[in-house]
Amino acid sequence: MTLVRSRTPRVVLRAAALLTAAMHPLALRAQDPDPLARLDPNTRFAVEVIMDSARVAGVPMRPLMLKALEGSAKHADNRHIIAAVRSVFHAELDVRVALGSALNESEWAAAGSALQSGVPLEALAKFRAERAGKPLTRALVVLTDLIQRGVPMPEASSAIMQLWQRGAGDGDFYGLWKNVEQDILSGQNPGTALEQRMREIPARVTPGTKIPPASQEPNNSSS
Amino acid sequence: MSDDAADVQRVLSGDVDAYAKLVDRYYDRCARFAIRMLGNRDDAEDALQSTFLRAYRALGRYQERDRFSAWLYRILVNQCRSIAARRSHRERVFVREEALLLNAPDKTPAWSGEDEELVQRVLNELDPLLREAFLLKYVEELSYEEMAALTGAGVSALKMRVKRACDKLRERWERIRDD
Amino acid sequence: MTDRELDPYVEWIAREAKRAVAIDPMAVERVMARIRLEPLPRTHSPRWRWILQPRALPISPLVGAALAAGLVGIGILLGHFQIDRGGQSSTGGPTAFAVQQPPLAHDTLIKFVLVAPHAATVSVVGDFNNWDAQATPMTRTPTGGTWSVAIPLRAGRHVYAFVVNGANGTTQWVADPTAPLAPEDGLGAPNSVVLVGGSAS
Repeated sequence: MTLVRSRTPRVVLRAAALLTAAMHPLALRAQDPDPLARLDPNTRFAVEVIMDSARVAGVPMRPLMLKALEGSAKHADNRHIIAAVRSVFHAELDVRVALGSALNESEWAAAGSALQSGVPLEALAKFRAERAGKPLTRALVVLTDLIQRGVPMPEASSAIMQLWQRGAGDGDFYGLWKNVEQDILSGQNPGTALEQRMREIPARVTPGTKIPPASQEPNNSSS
Repeated sequence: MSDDAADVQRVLSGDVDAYAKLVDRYYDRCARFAIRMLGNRDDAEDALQSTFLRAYRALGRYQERDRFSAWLYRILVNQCRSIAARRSHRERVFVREEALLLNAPDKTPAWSGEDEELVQRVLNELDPLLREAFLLKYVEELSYEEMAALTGAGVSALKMRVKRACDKLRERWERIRDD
Repeated sequence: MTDRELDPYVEWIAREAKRAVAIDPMAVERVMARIRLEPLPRTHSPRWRWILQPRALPISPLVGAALAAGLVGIGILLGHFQIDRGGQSSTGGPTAFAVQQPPLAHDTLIKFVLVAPHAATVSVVGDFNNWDAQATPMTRTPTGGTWSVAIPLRAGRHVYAFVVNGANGTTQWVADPTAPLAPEDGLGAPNSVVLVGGSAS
């Protein structure tokens, strides 16, 4: 690792980034080597301090940076940007308490979002107990969405956990979500919509047994 | 260029000892906040060590148009919060140093040398966010806007916290005094 | 709340708290001893570069094509429209698909579609393009009302929204009405979530 003793001109850094991007066939456009430069210095610093705290704590840093960039793109007030970044950081710490750190990036983000939407730690932690190699992301994304759409948190949480325990696959979660969403859009009470759609899902396995992947579903490798 | 900015430049050019000047310049003031905020010296020293270390690592990102003290304070406030959060709910023991025994103020009633411990105990009983706001406002003497930049809280929220802190301190103080 | 006269007790507390604390004379030296163990600070930290570089995510595969229906934003005005699917066309309600390219480092080509006939420009913005509203403009289809773009996405969860610019200069951030919502976070505009499968089903 070379130590940069003097400030490398930004032109040089960008040229290097462009060259790298051009060689990557799937680059959408040149990756900005310093995206946080969009933030004003005070905000940037506050965000970087939080990111550094995340690094020390051993939780993902990239989502924090992305949240700051999102705030900047939306022209949010700097204090709200910092608060949003801090909120993600705290959610990540809580995710680790609830689920441990053997999570991929998507699971971590989905779990953090679930907490931020109001799912309590204890409810999230139940997913850990029943994990058995099942991917968490879809279940948590659907749970978060249902709460955002007005399904009371306890009902949403309980329904998703039920499906989870029953060994529901990604297709089931997706199907439930799609149906409930349509029902809510056509004016139905969110809680009622969920309740009715839940009844339509057949139980696949007896609760408590280990769930092998169903033949029509892709192999779910544990992450 | 301010002294701070000049020293930062020296460090970035490879002169580590220039950092000692920065530490020296701000240590006492930071220590005062850390001790008042955390209520004990061990935690405070952890916070200080951590703060100056992080500031050192992040020095490349300090820009001269920022006030160095504000920049440093942001780290300090964050560190104090982390440490406070990490510690379990245990009794915060305020270790009184002999050197801290104060002369009685020239105002009635006559205060004894136990004053600082008393003050610290009263401060310790404040909710951390209220304590932090009180210290930043009345000990560090920052403006609400500076406090907002430091903590990420809104100005009205901070004013509310300061007011609540003052109310609670007054209540608490009256109870102690009457004991 | 204006800075009113402080209660004399509270003022006393503040005054006492302002007094200098006794500092161990060796404290600064202890800090410096620790500092000297560190590498010199850099002006541009390489660890941020590491975050920015694309890398493969270890993701368990999700149901591909079925989930693809949730990957496409159908947009502000729901309605029938045509999407070409590898030469075939299908009409009807919102349908969507993921065009599976020969996989390049786990990426899947995902098509985003938005019906917004009165927009001047539309782009999709999300964590896959560092929330850069200029990075991924969408193209208006020949029929005029529909905007689309296909971009390669890593397997996993992505958060995004559409930015719709009207001819009158207004800008609107729009979540994808047919995709799951991300939680409210105080930044003003809502986001959507897309889950990308790891392998073709």
